[in-house]
Amino acid sequence: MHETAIPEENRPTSHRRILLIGNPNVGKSVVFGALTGRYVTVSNYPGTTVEIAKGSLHLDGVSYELVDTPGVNNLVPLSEDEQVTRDILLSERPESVLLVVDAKNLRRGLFIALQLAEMRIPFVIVLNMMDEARHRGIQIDTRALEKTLGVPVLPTVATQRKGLGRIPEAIKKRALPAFRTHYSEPVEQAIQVLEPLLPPCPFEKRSLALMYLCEDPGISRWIEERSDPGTIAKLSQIREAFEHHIGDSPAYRINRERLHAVDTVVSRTMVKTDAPRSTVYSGIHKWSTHPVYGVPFLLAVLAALYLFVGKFGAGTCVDFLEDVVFGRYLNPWSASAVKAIVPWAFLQDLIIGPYGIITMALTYSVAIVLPIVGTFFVAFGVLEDSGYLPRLAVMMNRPFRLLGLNGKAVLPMILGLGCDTMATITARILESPKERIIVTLLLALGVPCSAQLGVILAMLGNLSFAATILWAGVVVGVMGIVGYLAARLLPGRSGDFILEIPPLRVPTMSNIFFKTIARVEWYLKEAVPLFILGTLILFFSDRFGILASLERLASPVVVGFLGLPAKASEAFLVGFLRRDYGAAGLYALASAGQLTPVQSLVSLVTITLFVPCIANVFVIVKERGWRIALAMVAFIFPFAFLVGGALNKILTLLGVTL
Amino acid sequence: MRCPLCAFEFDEKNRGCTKKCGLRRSSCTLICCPQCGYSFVDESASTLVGLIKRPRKSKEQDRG
Repeated sequence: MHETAIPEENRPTSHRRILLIGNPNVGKSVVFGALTGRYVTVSNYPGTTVEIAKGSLHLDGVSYELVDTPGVNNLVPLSEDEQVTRDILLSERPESVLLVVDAKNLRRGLFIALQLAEMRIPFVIVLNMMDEARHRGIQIDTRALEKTLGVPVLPTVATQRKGLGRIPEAIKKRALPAFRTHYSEPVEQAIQVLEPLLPPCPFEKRSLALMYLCEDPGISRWIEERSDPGTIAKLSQIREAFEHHIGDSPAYRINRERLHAVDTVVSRTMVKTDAPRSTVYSGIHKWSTHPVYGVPFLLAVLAALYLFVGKFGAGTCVDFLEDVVFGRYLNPWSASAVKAIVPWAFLQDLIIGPYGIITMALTYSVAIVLPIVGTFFVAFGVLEDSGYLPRLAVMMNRPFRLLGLNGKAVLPMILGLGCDTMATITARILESPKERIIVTLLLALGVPCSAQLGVILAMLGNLSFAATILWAGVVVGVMGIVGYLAARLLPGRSGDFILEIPPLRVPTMSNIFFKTIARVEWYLKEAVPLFILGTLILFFSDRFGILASLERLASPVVVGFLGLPAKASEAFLVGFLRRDYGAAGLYALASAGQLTPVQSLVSLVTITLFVPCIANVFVIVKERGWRIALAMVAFIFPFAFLVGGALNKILTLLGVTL
Repeated sequence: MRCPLCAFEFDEKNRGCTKKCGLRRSSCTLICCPQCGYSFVDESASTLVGLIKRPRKSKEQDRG
């Protein structure tokens, strides 16, 4: 192990700082508490809302300041938390770093360790949660890890204070890392050219050069503040030439090579002794992540989803609830009960009339949408628990790059199939504002939520297979074109794709059951109030003659352009509140034989391209701001009618009957 | 709890809520994975799940 030659004496106490770094949720705070005791100050890092805890640590009569930094996954920051941690490292060279690593997730921790090694900062690895790792059959050769990295590695169970006593001694060694990541020739050459041009910094210039190549805006700013304009221009030229030479995102390339180095270290130091995966599992893994073979795999999954949700949920279950439970029992019972109890015709109508709370809002939400949503949640739970979804993200990484996104953007898209509002929040995981705007737009434009998807599948189930292909083709095509154009029109860059792939597993029925129940309850709480609100709007609009006027007003678009009956205006009207409610209205029209197959398809495409729901608009406002939300809404609604109308004209012109 | 997407295990207090979240001040019952950011419904906040699990728990306690 290499020990530092930095003299400790004569350093002012304020400079004796030890940083506690680690991935989120690895037990940093427990280690911090155990080392510092009660006297802790918590304050926001200057200029941010990120909280930093500081405490005192005494080693051989010398007082050190221990700083608990926010959890990071990368020292080239993707989030404000990571930026704060990187800035602390950049602003002052610490005496030492305590890197807390979750032994169950060694790969993630070593990704940070290798970046610290590049900085040549003395550090100690606290390999925490060793007990949990052992339970999972993970064995880590800490001596081999120490030898490979050149820094102390301490196995600990922080919650039980096991192994923490050795930390002070390890800090005192101030061991400098010996490990050096060897990058490919173009990366090494770029580092060599950059290094002499970079200003002095508290750590190795090699590391600074790598951060600069990764287009870290904070680092670029830091360098520009300390360099003359001529040098800044040269640095920029080198970076551009490097990007051009590799033909890929520099950060993506460097992270990939760094991960490769991490994998090499992991393969030398860690053994997982769980039951060997069968060839079936490895075959599924290989097929599902392959960019070409993954497509038929995905189609097979979608076909199974269609059969279960579209045929069983939307067919068998909806028929039973709508015709038997509501049609035969609940609606007649409630009608006679309301007529007996409520003497006023107005109130009777409000509850059991054509736009009644029971006959419309509850029938739509419970009889039509609920069984579809329920079956979708079951299928979605199976997909989640099987481990297929992250594999789908890997498979879709390349196509998504055409939309200015990466595979990570698949996650909010998939989640959007459950709930677009939830998925809009998940868009936060994407690195750049550009990616977040594109994903939010695509979610709002064309990703149908579970409720809407179910109703759509139910309607498509009654049409030909060609209609299903046409619907999917138009929606995916529109999203592709809008995404492609948005990627080119919006300024900014795309982020990198790093995702841990969990093992494939057989889902447990009880888990799926409780998950579905929780989701159904959540759905009912979210949707039913809006269904009731939509029904009230329709009821009062009908009472005061507004509905007829609206239908007349919308007639040139709905009847003339979309080629639909005037009654479809009602579905579009409530579709502004929730598009699944609108779709349920169209489903009711189609079931009553008031829509031809072509009309069904045109109306489905139009309603699919609506903004998902009012709640989604509010979340877009909160996450992206008023201006972006308004711009999206102003674009989406007319665009939905435009696409629907164009489809109607084309199908009519070609004489397609479906 | 375990993230249904990336299988990352984390505890209640590290559910990945951030100050920037649009739902932070509402009665949010969603959990965000601190590792991959995936959002999912909190089963422990579900009344229905609680109602189903309660009799099972008390039965197990009676047996125990």
